Amino acid sequence: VGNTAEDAFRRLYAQNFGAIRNYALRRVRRADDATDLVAETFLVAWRRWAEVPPGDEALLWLYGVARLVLANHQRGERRRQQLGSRLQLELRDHLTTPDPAGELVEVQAVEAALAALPPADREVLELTVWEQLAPREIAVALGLSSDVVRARLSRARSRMRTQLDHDPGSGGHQGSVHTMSVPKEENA
Amino acid sequence: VNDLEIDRLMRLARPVPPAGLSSGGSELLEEIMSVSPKRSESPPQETASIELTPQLHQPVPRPRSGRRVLIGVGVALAVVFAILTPVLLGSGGGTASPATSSATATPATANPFLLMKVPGWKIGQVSLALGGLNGQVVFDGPGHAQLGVIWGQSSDQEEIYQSQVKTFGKPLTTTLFGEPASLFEVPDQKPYQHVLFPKPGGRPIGLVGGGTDLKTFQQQVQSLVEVTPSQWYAALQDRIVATDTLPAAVTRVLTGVPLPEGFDASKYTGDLPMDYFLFGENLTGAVVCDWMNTYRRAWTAGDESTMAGTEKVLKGAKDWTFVRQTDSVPAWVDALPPYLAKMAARKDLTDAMGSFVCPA
Repeated sequence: VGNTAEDAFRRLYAQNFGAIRNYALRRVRRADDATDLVAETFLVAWRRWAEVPPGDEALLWLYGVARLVLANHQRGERRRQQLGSRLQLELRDHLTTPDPAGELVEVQAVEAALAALPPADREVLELTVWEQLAPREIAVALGLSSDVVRARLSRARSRMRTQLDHDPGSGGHQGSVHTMSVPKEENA
Repeated sequence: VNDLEIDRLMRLARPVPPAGLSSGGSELLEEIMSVSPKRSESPPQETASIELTPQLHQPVPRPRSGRRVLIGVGVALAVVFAILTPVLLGSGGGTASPATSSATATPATANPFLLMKVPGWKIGQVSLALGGLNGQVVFDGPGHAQLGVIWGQSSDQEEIYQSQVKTFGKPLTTTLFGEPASLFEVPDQKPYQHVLFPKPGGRPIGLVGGGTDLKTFQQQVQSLVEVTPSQWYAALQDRIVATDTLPAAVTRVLTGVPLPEGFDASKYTGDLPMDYFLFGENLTGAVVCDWMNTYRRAWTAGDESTMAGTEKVLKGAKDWTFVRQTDSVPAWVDALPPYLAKMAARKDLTDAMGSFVCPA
């Protein structure tokens, strides 16, 4: 890897570290797991630098890698890289942050509703809300068509509303509900 | 509850720190850039991480050894494998396609061809890649007992050894297949509490298991016997594609698969033994690629009939017998939809094909 590539990788890392770290923090519960996820994701990018797309798509590519690393992690297949010991300490501090006071019941209800979603729908909703990705971007990251992403998102939102409207812990208050059309899902 | 409220509560449920590069993040960057094993040789090398590439950018038919190797295996085995994999696979010259493998007439393999000769144990998960040059077998025993066997072809045992010491601490000294070996203890990782490796310079085989105590692990190891390749393949029956079973495997994989005119399966099948799934994934992926090239030619010629026929075939690809009957989904299945969308709109695929890796 020449200096140019090294410099470019450093820029990629600096620009996207926070996004990938937060992706990890929101999906695993342990600091060492989150550190592994971040380290493995960027390690893949470093080793496969020639395949990382330029521009904004680089982050989507990284999300695509991170979700596969996460999938391995969830199957009990963690790859401990023994990297990022200081980062692990930082994340440990963060993960011990107390739960938000006052709205714990509502938060728990949302967590439960999320957990009840089909995994594919939940993933799209999480990428939408947590990573603030548009359906087109999610489609790139997941290798799906935008129509499929929109269908999954619509379905996830609908189920979340239904679930929380029936959950006393959610407060049950109603507001304006924005819905989108539901294209027929193909090739999911 | 409206969507905005749900979004707010979701963010509240998983708060994150502000974006930005922390000192820990900076340190990790330097560690990553120093870890790359082939750093001095321009671009970063493929390793077992091959399966971690987003499908849109590296979608198709390649052996994905790492993914299947680890499925269903316990944490400690994964830890060991994570340490071994970059070394064993990386030193093997990267990934190999069946086409390149076929250049070797005599199967070369580091497979120790081990079976467990005790009642109640059977071969569980099997993963071979690169024609058996590296792989893993997990034996399932009574209860939830498991014993994993990993092998590779690296001579870089010193690196493995040091990684093990760093991960698991100082080992006990013992023997494995008559060679000096190191026994590492892995606390709190049932059923993989023990890891056994030859000393540096020895045969690149790793054993992981243990059940409840060291004595159990030793009993498991002692029950391993080396057999001939033919005996080993016979024990696996049709889960491995070897030279003598190749024609039948080709027929089985391509059952119900519409083939493009002139498709030659022999171009994509080699002489080395392969895991049946990897073999089938490559072969069906080659068929898909051939059909996509058929579409591209038809698009250039304005041949609507062929384009329509090709689109129809590929729409049905996810229902091919091989795809439906294996326990894993070939990578190309998930990668195909964007291409089908382009076909449906009668758009050119040429630009998109740049990210669709077809066999040579």
